[in-house]
Amino acid sequence: MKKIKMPPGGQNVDELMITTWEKSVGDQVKRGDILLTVETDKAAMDVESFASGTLLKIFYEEGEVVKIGDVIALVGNPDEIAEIKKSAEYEKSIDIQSPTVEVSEAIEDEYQPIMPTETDKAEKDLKYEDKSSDEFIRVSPAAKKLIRDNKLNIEDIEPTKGKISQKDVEEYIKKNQTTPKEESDFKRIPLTNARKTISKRLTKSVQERPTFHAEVEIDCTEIIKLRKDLFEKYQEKVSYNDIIAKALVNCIKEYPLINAKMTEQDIIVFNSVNVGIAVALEENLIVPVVKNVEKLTILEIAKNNSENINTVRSGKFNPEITQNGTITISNMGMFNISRFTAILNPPEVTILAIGRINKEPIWNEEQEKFVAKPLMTITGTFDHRVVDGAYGAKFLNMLRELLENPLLMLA
Amino acid sequence: MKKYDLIVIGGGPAGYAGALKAAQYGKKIALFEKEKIGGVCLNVGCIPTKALSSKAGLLENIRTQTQKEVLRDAGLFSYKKIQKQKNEVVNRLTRGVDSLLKAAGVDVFLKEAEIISPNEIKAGSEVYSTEYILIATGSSNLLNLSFDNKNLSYDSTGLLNIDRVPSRMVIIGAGVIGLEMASIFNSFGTKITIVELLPEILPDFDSDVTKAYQRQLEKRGIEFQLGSLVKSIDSIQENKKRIIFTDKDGQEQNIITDIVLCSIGRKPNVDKANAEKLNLKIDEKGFIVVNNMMQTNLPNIFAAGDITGAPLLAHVAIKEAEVAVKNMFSDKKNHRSTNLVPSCIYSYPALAKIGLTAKQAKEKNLEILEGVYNYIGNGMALALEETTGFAKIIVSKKDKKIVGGQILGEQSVELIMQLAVVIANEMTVDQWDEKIMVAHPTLSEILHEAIMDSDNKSIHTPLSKKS
Repeated sequence: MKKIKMPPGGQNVDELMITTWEKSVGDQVKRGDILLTVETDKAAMDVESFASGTLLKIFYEEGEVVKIGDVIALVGNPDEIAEIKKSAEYEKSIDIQSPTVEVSEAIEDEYQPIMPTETDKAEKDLKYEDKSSDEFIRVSPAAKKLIRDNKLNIEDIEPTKGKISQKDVEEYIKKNQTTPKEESDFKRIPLTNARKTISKRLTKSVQERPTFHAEVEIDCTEIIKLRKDLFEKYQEKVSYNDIIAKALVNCIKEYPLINAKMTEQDIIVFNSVNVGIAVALEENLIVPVVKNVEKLTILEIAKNNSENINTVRSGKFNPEITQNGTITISNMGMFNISRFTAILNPPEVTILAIGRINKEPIWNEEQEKFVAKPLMTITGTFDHRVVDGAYGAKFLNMLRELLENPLLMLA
Repeated sequence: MKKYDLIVIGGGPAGYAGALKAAQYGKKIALFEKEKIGGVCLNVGCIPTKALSSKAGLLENIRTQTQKEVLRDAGLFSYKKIQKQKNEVVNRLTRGVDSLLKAAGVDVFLKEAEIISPNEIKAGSEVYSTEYILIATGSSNLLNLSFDNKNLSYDSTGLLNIDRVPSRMVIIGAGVIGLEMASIFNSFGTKITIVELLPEILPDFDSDVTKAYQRQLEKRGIEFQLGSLVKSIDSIQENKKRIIFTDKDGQEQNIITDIVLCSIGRKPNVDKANAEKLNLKIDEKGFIVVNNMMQTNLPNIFAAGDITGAPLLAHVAIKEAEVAVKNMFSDKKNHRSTNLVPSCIYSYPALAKIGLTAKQAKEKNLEILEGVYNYIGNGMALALEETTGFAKIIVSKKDKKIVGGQILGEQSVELIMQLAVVIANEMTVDQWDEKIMVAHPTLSEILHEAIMDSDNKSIHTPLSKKS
């Protein structure tokens, strides 16, 4: 059995985030197969397996940040799985460095295929750059015409066996979806790494997580007052997000599955509540995390949050600030949005989308008339694999109750 | 005390060839070798790499034919078995040399020897006296501690002993060793990057030849980072290393790799302190200084092979040892000639050179004609499906003497020797045309056409291309 460790991501990078697992537990892997992709704030890269066998165990999920050198997966013979299960190393919480499991010799096949595998080939083709323009590369007349007609750059096209054929050009066009149009019809915006990462992660989140949405309307009279009182008393600005974060702690005590993640084998329920607040930057979306909210007062939460936001906006921050979140809050109130739904931030199972506070007429039974109340919507997105509909609904209602009667938070 | 006519120190190509040559004069000879008979060449150099490159070539052939659907399901290969076969080749050859030495009556001692005076050798507690000494202690791989202070890189010897094919390798130095290893391991499936300090590879060849050569290697997926300076190598995790270098644009790059091969040159195996004690002259790099009779500043002591400096080649070593021994035991004086040293790179495709290049001719202010012929125009090359490459012939313009040649392609390392004969005999293009009939079909016809092309007389070159 071989331990697959997080490889280094370049200079000054101590940890990397797992973007995608390309293989699942139980898959056969060969040496050189791409196991997963990881990223730093700057770049994404593929991690190849240096062992052959079956992927026996994955220790970190997508979205998790892992220290370089930490064991992220085990590859070996399926017979060995029973043995690992018994051992302490099965849980990643155990210090991986401690030699609790005797690592047997890698089961390497003595024989390897003569023909390169598809991934090998792709790698090789990728690496092949034509540096000397068309001095040696031959281009078929049909290919030349296509290149001209489509205004392509000949250097972008990969030749097959030293020659660019019509087929090579057609494939290039297909791959790049270049329509033979005038460039003036559109503008091309190259994908930044941040954009690629956002796109990859969100697509995966939506594809792999069956979600449901549920919404509550909250009468904010009391929390508006609370904010005002806190400011008058302490001269500290507390945001609605901070108050919601504080209320969340109580709700999670009652409904722990809200603050959890799912692995291949089990659901892991977190003891601490680490609340991420989505912050929109010019070309990126960052979710700094306030950790151990259950141990903090509202003022402390507010202080941590505003520090985080300032750090993130300054652009210079340690990726650690965005790590180990267990639940996320996204607030679009300042953009005057009444209600919206958010996409889960894997591996979390809950994200709360907060709308603006707006005065709405509410029927008052006692006074028998409509009364204007400051209302706010909270729309929850839940991972249905972990959180059931009724459970989510009850959680949201408790949250509503606490926010409408903040004193209950003391209970 | 045992007394000999000649004591040879070192059992590599220079040492064993010197001993065998001296035996032809009926002399009493002892040979001391501290490791293995055969030296670098037989044990960890030329021969084992050729055993590997022949299998690499076989794999390339199978791949080509499988792509063309001549073969189906190319199957599997075992690097372990290739290694085993390589070791058998080495053992057979070293045993062969051993028995040649025994048959010649040479006393072979597998011991370290020290020269204590121009006529005395000490090995262990024993002292042997001799009339002459031939130093043939050779060279070893140079490792660079400035960027590899943790000694994480392999040298070629270490690389030859690995028991499985690495998936990623970075090679520092695009010399002959680096290029051959790149080609071999690329064929075995390793992804390779070569990092070289100089802006071009093989500066001793003409750059049109090396560019075409580099291109062929790049086509196979070997990546070149020329003009690049290695900064550091560090260990990342079990079996993974990170090499950091600045590329030709001054950008810092890093590669995560299984293996780093350091092939940046070789250093002489010389005991500097002892050389000083004996007053034996060595140059600033530690190579022993010899005259063109292979004699050191101490008249009884001769030296041959790598220990006397560049070119560090087995065939040069053998020739030098023979010259040294002739000068010891025959009245006729012999001189080393370095004009016609063939230089061969056993990669896929192979590259070979002899005599002058166009660049060298220009440096000598020699006016030249060039003749070129491509493999693809040759029937035999087509039949072999080895159509990559060309021959380039250098002819002196004044007298039409053939003075040099470079060949890229199949069998180039064998073809080049025909030019050695031609150049050594100062043959002109017209003499070749009149006297030589080249068998058909052979790759040798490529040479013929290239020689004729220098005079615009190649009948197989389209007229339109002739100027």
